[in-house]
Parts: sequence; structure tokens; C-alpha cells
Amino acid sequence: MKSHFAQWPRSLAALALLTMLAACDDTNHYPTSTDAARAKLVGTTIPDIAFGGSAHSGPGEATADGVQWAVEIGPADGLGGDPVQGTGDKVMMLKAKLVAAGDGTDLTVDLTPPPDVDPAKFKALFDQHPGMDRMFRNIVQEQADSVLTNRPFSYANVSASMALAVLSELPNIRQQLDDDRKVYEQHERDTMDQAYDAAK
Amino acid sequence: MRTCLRGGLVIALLALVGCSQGADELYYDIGPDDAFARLVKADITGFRDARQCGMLIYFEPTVYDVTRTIIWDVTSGDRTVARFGLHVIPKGNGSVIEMQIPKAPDGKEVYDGTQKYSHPAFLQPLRPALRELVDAAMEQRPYDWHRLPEMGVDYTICASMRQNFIASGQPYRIDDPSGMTHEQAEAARSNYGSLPIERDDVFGPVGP
Repeated sequence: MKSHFAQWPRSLAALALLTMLAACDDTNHYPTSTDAARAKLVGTTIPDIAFGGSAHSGPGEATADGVQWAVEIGPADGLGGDPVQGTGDKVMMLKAKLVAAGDGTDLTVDLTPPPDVDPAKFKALFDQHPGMDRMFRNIVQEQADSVLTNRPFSYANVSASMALAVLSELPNIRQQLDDDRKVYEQHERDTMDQAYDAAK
Repeated sequence: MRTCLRGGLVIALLALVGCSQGADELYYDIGPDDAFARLVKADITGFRDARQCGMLIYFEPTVYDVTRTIIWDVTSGDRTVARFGLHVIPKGNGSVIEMQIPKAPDGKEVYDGTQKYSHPAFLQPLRPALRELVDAAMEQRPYDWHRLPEMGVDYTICASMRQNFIASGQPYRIDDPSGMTHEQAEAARSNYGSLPIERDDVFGPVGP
């Protein structure tokens, strides 16, 4: 019984986050033409705070069906460490698709791989990490909505999906730590073996 | 033959004079001969890799079949830096494994977690680490340091020299000044000639 109570806060938090996210419909309608919407979104950049310093977006570029932002690896890993290898590499495209609907525009978001990334692998990656998928969709949705409604990008509007993404990644983070530890321990043993062999 | 056996017995006893016999004796439901055979095959290399500091150490076992005792002398260079033994005592249908750890000059056990060494052989405390050596031997598996009880973060010179060793691949030597890597010691020697080397008084006086 005690353990059920102990799990409640965590379960409630996860439920609350899911509810908040469920309220975010994937399609938003704006009372403006697709051309006007595209014109407003092109050239805008998603604030780096949305990526925690680990990545940043290039300026919005016009596409046939809307606008896209290229997400590039940032100069730091978000932890204040050394510059990350691959800085500047494009890792994904965040897309806002614009479709004329009535007297306005319907906007939906999508994530696609950059040209040099295998789409199947890209899809598989996000299938394995649905929390991250949701988070990036939420970020591009907030970017588009803030621009089209003439307000600043709101970190509060994406923080819930970020929290959920982190929660959903905890098992992977734990696994990664375990894997790293095993690699380090093997390195320790190998180093010692070599030193003892050399001393023979 | 009998004289040889008696001689071995005497040597085994002499080697461990002054050793404290731990209160936390370990009982295993394994016959004494089998338990002893397993101890002889104990994963001492796994123990060494898990617990050693930054200098190379060598475990030289002496096996006393008559008393079912193994004593490991731990050396580095030409110096004995530690010693411990495991002794099988029949009990019921099983065995008690007694850890035999020599006394330090202050009357406590060597490597009991409070001792200070300029050139430590391994991380302290020794006793729980030895228990895992025995458990692993009895279960006929490799030494697994993850099974050790939580002992907190080790900030001793042992831990830092171990990190230097792993990072550089270069162990320091017992003839290097304490706290210096071997590379630093060599550089200092080339600049200043011979260097003063601290020596550890590891063992207490042999008692009556």
C-alpha cells in the first residue's frame, strides 16, 4: 500500500503532462492566407533556449508547402563543456506545413531528416523516442504560433513536452550510463593487463 | 613426510602471527576440501584489478593444504606492501572462511580504512573487498566489485594514483616519491638526481 502512495506523485505528474499535451491539437488554424503566413515565418529562428544550447535552428526557409527550419548541432552540449564534434551539422528539419482552409490557413508540423540522413533510420529513431518526437513538434508549433499571433516565443508552452521527453528518456539515459560504465571498466582492465604484460 | 607437514603448519602459523581473526566469519554450505579448492582458484586478478592503486602489485600465494590456508604476499618492486590469508574451518557440513589480516603498527588491521600509506597497494578497507573475493570463489564466478557494500567516494592518494594510471597507462613505482607519476619522478630525477622516497611501515611488530 505504501508503495502505491509513493508512486502517485510521479503518476499524477505524468498524467498532467500528458493531458496538457493532449490539449495541443496538431493542426492550428490562422485567419491569414498561406502566402502571408509563409512570409511571416520565413527568416525567423527558433530561440536556442528551446534546444537547451545543444542545437540551434537556422532561419526559416520557404518550401513548396510551407516553411522549414534546419536544426544544427550547437557549439556546446548544453552542459558548459567543450565544443561538440559535428558542430553545425544538420540533424533534422522542422517543418510547418501550410494549407489553405476556408478564409485562412491550417498549419501542421512535421519532422523530416536532412538530405544526407536515411529517412528509415530517422523514423526508427523517433519511433523509439516518442517523447522527443512530441517535444520537437511542440517546439515548431510554438515557434509558428508565436510568430503568426505576434507574440514572443514562450518557453512555458514547450516546457511540459520537454519534461515529458526527459521522463520518457530516463530508461535510455540509464542504459547509456550502464553502457558507458561497462566500456570504462573494460578500458581499465585492458590498461592494467597491458601494464602487467609490459612489466614481464 | 610428517616433519614436512608439521613444518608447513608452523610456517603458516608464524606467517600470520599477529593477525586478527575477524568476527564476521563467513559460513558456506560447502565441504572444507571443496571450499579450499575453490579458494585456491579465487579470482585474485579480478580482485587486483578492482582494488589496486596506481602501482603494479603482485600476489604470491602460499598454499598450506594441511591447515587449508592460503596466504597471499602482496609485493611491489622488492617490497611487501600487504599480506592477507584465508583459512577454511570445517563447521557442520560446511565451512567457515576466516580472513586473516595482519596488524598494522597501531594495532588495527592493515588496510582497515584508517591506515595512511604513501605507497598504498589497494583501496581501503580491505575486509569487505576480501569478502567479495571469498563469495566469488565459493560461487565459482569472477570477482565483481559491484557487489561490494557502498563505501563512499574515495579521495585518497590510492584513488587519484589509480586514475592517473588508467588515464596514462603508466603505473607509478614504489621507488617514485609519493603522489608523483612515474613520468614526473623520472623528470625530477634527471634534474635533481636521487629523490627522497617515503617508506611505509605496513606491519606491526609480531606479538608473542
